[in-house]
Amino acid sequence: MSVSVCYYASGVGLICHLMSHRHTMSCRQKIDYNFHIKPILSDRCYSCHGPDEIGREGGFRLDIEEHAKARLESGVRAIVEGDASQSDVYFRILSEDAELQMPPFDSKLSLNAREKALIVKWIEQGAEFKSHWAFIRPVEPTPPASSKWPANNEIDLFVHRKLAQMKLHPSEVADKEILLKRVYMDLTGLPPDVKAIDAFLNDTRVNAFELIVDDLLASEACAERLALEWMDVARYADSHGMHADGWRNAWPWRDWVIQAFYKSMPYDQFVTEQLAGDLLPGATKDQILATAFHRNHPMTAEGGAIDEEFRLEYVADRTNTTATALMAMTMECARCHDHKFDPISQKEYYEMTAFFNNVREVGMTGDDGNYGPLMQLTSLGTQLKIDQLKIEIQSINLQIEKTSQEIQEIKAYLDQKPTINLDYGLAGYFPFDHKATLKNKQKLIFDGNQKVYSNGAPPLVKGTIGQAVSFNNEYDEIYLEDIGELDVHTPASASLWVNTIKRQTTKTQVLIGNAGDKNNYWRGWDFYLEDDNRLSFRLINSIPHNLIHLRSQDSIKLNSWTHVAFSYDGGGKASGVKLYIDGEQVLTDVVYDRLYKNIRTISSGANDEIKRALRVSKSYRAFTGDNGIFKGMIDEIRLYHRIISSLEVAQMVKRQGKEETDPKLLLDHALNSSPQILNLRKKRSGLIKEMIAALDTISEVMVMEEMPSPRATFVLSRGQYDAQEEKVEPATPKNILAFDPELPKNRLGLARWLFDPKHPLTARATVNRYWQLIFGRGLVATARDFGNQGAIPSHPALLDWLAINFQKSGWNVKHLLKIMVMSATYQQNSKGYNLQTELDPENIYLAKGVSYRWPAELIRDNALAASGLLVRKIGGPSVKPYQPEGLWIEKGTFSHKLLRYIPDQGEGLYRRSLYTFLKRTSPPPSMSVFDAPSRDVCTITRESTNTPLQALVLLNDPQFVEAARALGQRMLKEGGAILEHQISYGFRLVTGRKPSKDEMLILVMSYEKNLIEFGQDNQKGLALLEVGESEGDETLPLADRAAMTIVGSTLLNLDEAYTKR
Amino acid sequence: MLCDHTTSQYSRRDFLAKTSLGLGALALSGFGEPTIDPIVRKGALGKPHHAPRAKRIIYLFQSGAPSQLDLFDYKPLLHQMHGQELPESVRSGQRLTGMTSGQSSFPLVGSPFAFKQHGASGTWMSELLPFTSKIADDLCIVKSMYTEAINHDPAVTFIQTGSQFPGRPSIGAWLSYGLGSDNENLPAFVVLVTKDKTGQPLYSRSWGSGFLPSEHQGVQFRAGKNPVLYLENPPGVDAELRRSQLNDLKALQQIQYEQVEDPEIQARIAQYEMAFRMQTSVPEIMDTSGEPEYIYDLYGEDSRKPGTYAANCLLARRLAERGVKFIQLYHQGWDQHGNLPSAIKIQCRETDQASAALITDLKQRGLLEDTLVIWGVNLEERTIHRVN
Repeated sequence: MSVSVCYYASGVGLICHLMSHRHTMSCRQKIDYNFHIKPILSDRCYSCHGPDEIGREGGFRLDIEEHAKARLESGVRAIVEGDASQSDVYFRILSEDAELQMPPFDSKLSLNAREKALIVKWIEQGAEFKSHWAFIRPVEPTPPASSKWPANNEIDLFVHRKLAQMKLHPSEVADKEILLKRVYMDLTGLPPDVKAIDAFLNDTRVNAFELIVDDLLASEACAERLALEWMDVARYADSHGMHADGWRNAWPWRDWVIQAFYKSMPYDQFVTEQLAGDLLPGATKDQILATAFHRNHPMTAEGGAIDEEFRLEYVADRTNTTATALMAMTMECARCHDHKFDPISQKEYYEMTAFFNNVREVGMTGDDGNYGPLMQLTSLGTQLKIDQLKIEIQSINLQIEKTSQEIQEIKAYLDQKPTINLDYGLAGYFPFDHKATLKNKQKLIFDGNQKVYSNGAPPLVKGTIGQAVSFNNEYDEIYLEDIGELDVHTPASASLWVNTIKRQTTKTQVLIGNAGDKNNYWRGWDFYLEDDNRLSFRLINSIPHNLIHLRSQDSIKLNSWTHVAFSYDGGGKASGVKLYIDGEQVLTDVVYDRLYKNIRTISSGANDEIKRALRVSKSYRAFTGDNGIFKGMIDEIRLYHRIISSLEVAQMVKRQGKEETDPKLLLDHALNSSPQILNLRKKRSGLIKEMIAALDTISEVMVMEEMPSPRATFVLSRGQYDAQEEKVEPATPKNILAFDPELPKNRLGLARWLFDPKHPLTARATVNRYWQLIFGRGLVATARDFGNQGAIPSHPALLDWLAINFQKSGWNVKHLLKIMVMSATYQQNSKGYNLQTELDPENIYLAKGVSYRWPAELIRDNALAASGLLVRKIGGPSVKPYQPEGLWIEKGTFSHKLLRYIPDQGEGLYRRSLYTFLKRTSPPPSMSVFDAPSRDVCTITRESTNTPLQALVLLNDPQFVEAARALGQRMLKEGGAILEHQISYGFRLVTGRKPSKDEMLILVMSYEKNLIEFGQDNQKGLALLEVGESEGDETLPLADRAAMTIVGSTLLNLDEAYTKR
Repeated sequence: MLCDHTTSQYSRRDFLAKTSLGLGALALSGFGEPTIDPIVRKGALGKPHHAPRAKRIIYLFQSGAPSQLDLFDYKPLLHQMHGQELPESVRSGQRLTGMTSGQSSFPLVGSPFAFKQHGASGTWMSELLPFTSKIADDLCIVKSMYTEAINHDPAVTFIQTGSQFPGRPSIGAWLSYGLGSDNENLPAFVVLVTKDKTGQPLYSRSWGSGFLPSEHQGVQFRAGKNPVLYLENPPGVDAELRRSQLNDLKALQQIQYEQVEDPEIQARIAQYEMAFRMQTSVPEIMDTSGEPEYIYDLYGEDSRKPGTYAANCLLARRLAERGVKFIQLYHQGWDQHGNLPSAIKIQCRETDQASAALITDLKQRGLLEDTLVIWGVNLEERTIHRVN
């Protein structure tokens, strides 16, 4: 087969392309750089002579005209316009000398004769370079004035022009029934019911189809269908994806997407809110929820993972997803080196990551749960309650302030001798003066108290008073049982003497605390040394988003006894915490100050409230590489369930004898002992307790949030997390569109940049994605890659026209879909294998309607809808329909919440498939078999395969067997009294059309044959009818129901039950 | 990431699309029903420039980190230095997993197991591998393999897909894509997981198809009544009834084909037939009851218990015999932290005899000639004492 190359110049100087299996050239033809030459250069030459500076050989690059045509150091010129004989390229590509030949032999790349001829001819014709089509801003092309075939809109004019050039012609309009089913499935993913089919068949109005399209586009089902497609793009899942692959609460974002489509939110707003909703002025809760889009990426909880490595992996994922999803660019290729094919440098890649690198997040999460930044999904009732409590707490705080002011002004405290009782409110005192080994147990106990022990062997040495413990080894930590459980609403203090021999910048030394590990959100509190032994205190509900963290500005001294203490006023704020070193309150930095849930210790996995002994000299963390091991001596630990005053702390250090006269200390002590203030604090404590209890009930979702001071971003050599090179600022690849300096250098600026009318990619990539949704294949077949290695548009002018039209419509997705389905091109029938099919076997030029297997979810939804089992409920937590037993637990046992797959009962079995729970490492098998992705990464195009496993699912999966049973019953009950009517009814429910006589005959015979079969053996029928949870109608004869179940199953296995026709 | 799999792999597509009016025309003109099988398909790759020797791969994947220092990698010096601190010259700045970097010291630990040289090759192996050491001369031990990962998930993902992070096709899927299939009744890529083991998790992406079509993903065969998911007919539907249903379905599909003339329908009919054949062929393969006693003796007592590693090794041979290209076993539990000396014994007891038996069995059947058997892991064990 040979078809000659044709071309035409479109409004943007693009040349049409022809997908035939062979091309031949005629002498007269003009060779086009973008169409003919660059695909060859990109594929065979750019890896050594392209944009990547480091990979470049001989300093020569072919991707930029000036370089390609310049005189080289060797004196030759690679390309001389119009003169192949003077062009080194000519000799190199024709040479058979291994030394000279290009591409070199060892590259395993080569050019065929046709490719060589094209390059030579192009040079002869002047070697004209052009920018890559996708980087040139689209200009609205004028649609062809007319077509020789009936055209409904501009789409047809463009498509027909191409058909005419290809000597093809469009097909007839599809049968009404086929067309109705097609548009229902495309726009809503659900089939029409029989009533809808009849109504359409009887509707003779000229705009009958358009009315249906309008209805469908406005439906909730349409919003669900579009959400499903976007969930692939947004790599949405209900689990974390890596290692333990535990549970996350992500569905509220999915519901946001459904609502956004339902409300026909313009696409620019849709994307802007997802990228940067939190940065919009006066951001609403919904706009913040939208940003969960960029928290959908997989995360790890694997013990031992290096936090920064994975945190940067998430940043990279956001960058890659943004580029692929919104611009159809393979930016990820520039993570380790300059892009080999597209003009995106490695530096530009990291400039892009800077937009997403400013989130306070952890790289290693816990096995299950959500990790900050989070947004609370507060019900109105709870919100009102919290608001009320906040007002009351605020009022008490004001009273405390006022009373304090009064006490200060009256100055009575100066005249009174302060009463100091260091035993008052003392929860525990640990002098570490004696130790003994418990008999029969390898346990060392201290001061005769069995609840103060170590499993190691820390010796006692001379301390500040009497003896002190000396911690030298890894397992020397001491446990203090039944003490130290703190609450947000109660005051507490602690003091101790410490003498350390260790100082490290990156590691911590825990003095005392009960904060947990990653699998219990690190919940609890700790008092420790970090960052060169600066004194730190944390009250933790969950890291990184729900805690109070303060740190002293100064370090404590090495190798000398230092007294350290903290006091916390039970007010839930960092301002209520004081840190003391050697008896004096010290200046602190507030690292984080947002604590809004309780801090009681919980178990790992199950997360039940449990008591956890305080640990002295070590953390409970594990997994992180920093176990908080303290080295040195600790003495005289005192724990209080009250605030200790500055005066008391000073007294502890100076000990007996000297009387403190510092008025500041006297005041602080007076305030702490004032009955009025104590009373007010007690009242406040009750209110805070109530508020925390209310806040504890609120579920949360992961969202984006900027840190107040930006984190520095660096180019990372070879993409490695710790190989920092040049520091970079947020910016975008200049060859796509330079970042306007007027824009804010944050995610909002990035969103604005994407929707800049000058942006060459956003609109094109989007209309192409939706074209793919409706026509099964993009106008650019590589919908995820518009770069040099991607496909060239089949209909460049149409692509640009759609892109401009889409922007002009206010980025209206439904408007876009409407013009697509209203086109005559869409409405053609898809039948026939003829000469046209041979000329265009993949139907790229659309001489007929398109045909392909539906996505997994649509196949199941079609069966559920046809059978009447479908439960139409929009949104809510993901559901668990039938799945073979044991698939989750055989993958792993780390996640507590996703250990076993337990199917729902009732409606969860029958919801639309976009609501099916997705655990990434063990996705629902009946969906994977039909190419549903596991959503580890952004997916733009699904595969569409055809395998025997698919047949097994449709025939044997209880979901489909039950659907067949319900369908059979529905046929018997709703289809009328006559068998043929019943069968016809079922046929129409599944396929959308009436069966032909031949089809009817086969099905009638099948029913009758099976009726006899099941009539002879009741047990068989009984067994079959028991598949699935739904109740059957036992008033109907058993054999009838069983026989019709088989008919139902046959119907659900028909081509039209899973194929677009 | 560009892979143009629309171009070449289907003999069916080529045949249908590139002959004049293809088989569709044949069918329409009444020459009877085309008998094409889309499963015996060519791969995307053409013939290589040399005749390849290996026709199939059996990959015995030991998930976790079997301690090479206690199995194959004899380290007398390490033994001598037992208890001493890891010299900086050895670690040379190498990063540590968070599981150990909290430790304050890194004492060296020599293997507690005795090593001996085996076979004509004099390969060192420990006493943990009495059976494998007998086939030492059939093995090539590669000691230079490593991953850059320090965690299981990225390491497994890297070994199986070539990238530490999810999203790419697994090695078996690539093989299926590139080389096609040799068997019309079985998938090209079969996965067998030892039943009821725990330890580091498995991820279905390890045998997933990533961005390749799902037909290339590994199909897990399981012990028990339903060896392939959804293989079994629903209760009340016997093979006869199913056959009759499929005949009706085929007749209906044929009518549809005549209407729309889409070759995909023919391919679909063929897939239903293959599914039907699999309902017999898969249980047949899984049923090892016809194996002679000496085979059970060879693979060990465990091989009588479906779902064990030994039973899976035996199945691997049966699958290899039937032309499955890529057979991958997964055996979890090689992640000894606190209890290596006793736990590794159990792991070896479960795997040593059967792994060796598989080689011996393949050899005696002449299959080892063209079968590449890989015994592989995802992480290498370190020489230091790990406290967690």
